[in-house]
Amino acid sequence: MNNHSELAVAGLVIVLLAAAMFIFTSELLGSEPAVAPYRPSLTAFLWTYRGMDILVQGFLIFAAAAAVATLFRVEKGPGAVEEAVEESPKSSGGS
Amino acid sequence: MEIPLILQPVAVLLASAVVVPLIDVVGRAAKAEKIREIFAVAAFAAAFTSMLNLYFEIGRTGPQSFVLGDYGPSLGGVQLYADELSVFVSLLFCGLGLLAAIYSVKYMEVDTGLDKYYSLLLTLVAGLVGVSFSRDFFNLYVFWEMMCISSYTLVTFRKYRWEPVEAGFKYLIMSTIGSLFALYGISILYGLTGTLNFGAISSMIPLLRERAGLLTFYLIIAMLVSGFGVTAAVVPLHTWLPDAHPAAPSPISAMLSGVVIKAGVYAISRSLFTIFSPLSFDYGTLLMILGVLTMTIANLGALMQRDIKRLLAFSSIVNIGYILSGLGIGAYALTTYYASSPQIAISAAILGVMGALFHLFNHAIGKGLLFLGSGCFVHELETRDISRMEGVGRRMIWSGVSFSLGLLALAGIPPLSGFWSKLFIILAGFSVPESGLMKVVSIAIVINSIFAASYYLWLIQRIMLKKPSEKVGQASEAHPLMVLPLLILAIVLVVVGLWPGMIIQFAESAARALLGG
Amino acid sequence: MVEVWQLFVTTSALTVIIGLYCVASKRNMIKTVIGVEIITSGINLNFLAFGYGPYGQDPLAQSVVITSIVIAAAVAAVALSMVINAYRHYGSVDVKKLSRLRW
Repeated sequence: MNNHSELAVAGLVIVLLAAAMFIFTSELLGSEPAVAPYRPSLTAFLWTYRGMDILVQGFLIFAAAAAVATLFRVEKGPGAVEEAVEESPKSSGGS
Repeated sequence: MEIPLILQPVAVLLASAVVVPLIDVVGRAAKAEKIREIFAVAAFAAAFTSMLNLYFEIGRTGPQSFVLGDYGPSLGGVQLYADELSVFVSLLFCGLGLLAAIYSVKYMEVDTGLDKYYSLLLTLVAGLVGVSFSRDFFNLYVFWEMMCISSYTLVTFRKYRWEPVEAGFKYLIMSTIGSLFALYGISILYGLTGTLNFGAISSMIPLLRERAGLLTFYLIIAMLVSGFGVTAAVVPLHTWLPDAHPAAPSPISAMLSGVVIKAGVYAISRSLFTIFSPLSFDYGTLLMILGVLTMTIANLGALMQRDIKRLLAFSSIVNIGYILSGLGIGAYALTTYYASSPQIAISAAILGVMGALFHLFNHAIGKGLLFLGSGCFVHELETRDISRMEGVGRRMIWSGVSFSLGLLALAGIPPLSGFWSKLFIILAGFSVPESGLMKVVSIAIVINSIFAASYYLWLIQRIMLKKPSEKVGQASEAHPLMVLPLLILAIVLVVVGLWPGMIIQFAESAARALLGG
Repeated sequence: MVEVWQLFVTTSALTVIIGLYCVASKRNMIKTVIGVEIITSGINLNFLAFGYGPYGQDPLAQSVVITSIVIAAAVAAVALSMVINAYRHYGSVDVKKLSRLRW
């Protein structure tokens, strides 16, 4: 029962969002896109204009690799002890 | 090889981020494990110094820019641009990163994988600084995502407990969808103008207003505000924040609450004010309404909390509401009153935006202080429940006093700094005599400040004035490396409160840079 | 007369909406991550749709799309690592189980 009502609410919200988006998009489709100025081919473009972004993407991939390594590391001890207010799996929180 | 001054902070941070794991391997082989902490703190200090150099350089010669090669920006060349607003915000990011790193040396001792922790902290600050320096949307998006990936992982750093994992996953999904919404708005903007550079787009917008309908531009504004607003924690997109901030380790909570949500506000303001001139697009009303909504709902939410970090997280959302209202007042003043009385409108706008930026500074310092201070308490007492922490300020004098100073400053008690920033925002709302909406927003800010001050004072009473219980009575002061950042931040708050002139000047030049004259 | 780019823009809007529905209504965490990837695909298509001009495909749009694919892959990697960690704690990949933190 709960599942159906939540699905229904989600579906309703998505339908409203879609309707709003289509109203806006129809106006967008009426206008014309800009003509991009002449630019060289992709490889030339990437290396000359966008070299810095490619470099930074390299560091971003490094950060993602460090992230995955962090999430899969092997723990040796119990780690830090910090008792939160909403503690056990049985309790359902609340103020 | 000479690196241009504007590239130095990001280059130092990124290079150190890659080197930290290597230093860790060397350190472990040589049995000197502390090398990586020393290296990370040194890297942050170097980045902070180069940021100060950049600030002085801008004071001498004006805004700096860096163009890759000889290719002009309008053809799609990368342009990094540092004006006063960027440096204002980046100094905060680097400074708070430095203090969080010093604090983490002691706090995170019991954890494994610390080389990756410092690496990710360095990438987080690198992404933040890159966001503030970027001048076209491609750059902004790449640095933004670097910041986001680092912050998702740092929230989930203590993955051996269930709470960070749950909070981190919620944060990841919501924030990624927000960034994708913003990217969708950027793609529509690209479709209309054929370029991604801020300057080029802003010069094309007036020409396009007849060709494309006005509705399209408001759609883009809505997508940008809601997309970046997820990270900036505006209501109703804030629900990840009260779960993520308590679950993260305390120095990361300080970074998240102090600077990452400010980066969201910065992205909103930069993309709105720079591209869509406030004279022709009315988004002041939107920002003001969002600000008032954020303040009120978060204040109500903060009343019911028993967990100290959750209370502080809700109060972060309230302060983002103040900042957004200040920006909204500035934009609204320009939109509605520029035609009739330009002088009053311009001065109201500058006052509003300056108050918002000053409050951004105050809240970052203050909330950083509060989270680091509560981290001291949590580290000693091993609990986050306020009812078990009563009177701990009497046992841990230095942290308790700094914590109370931070609470007083954020509550807006004169002569601490929070009073001045809120005063500027409220005055800006009252400075245009004939406006009704701005006065209503200012009154809402006053009411919410009084409301927030009440639970801040309640917290001070619980922490400092009550009698310590048995367990609290055995607590002792935290390690000096953890107390040192607290003292530095508290001293900054007191100094800025008593002599706000320098910061006000800085904030005013930043506000002028944002509004573009 | 319907032009080609209008078809692509409509398709990308539809894809984004399908992705949003997928994120909002699926109970499996992995399906949520797949929904995020669907939204990314829709946005990439939007960039490319606007990039076609008389000089061929605009390389700025192409480079943004390449970057966006890289970033989405990185985010998906981190998200799925979190899903695995959540499975170790909760024993299932059901999003409804992740509801211990309230208020």
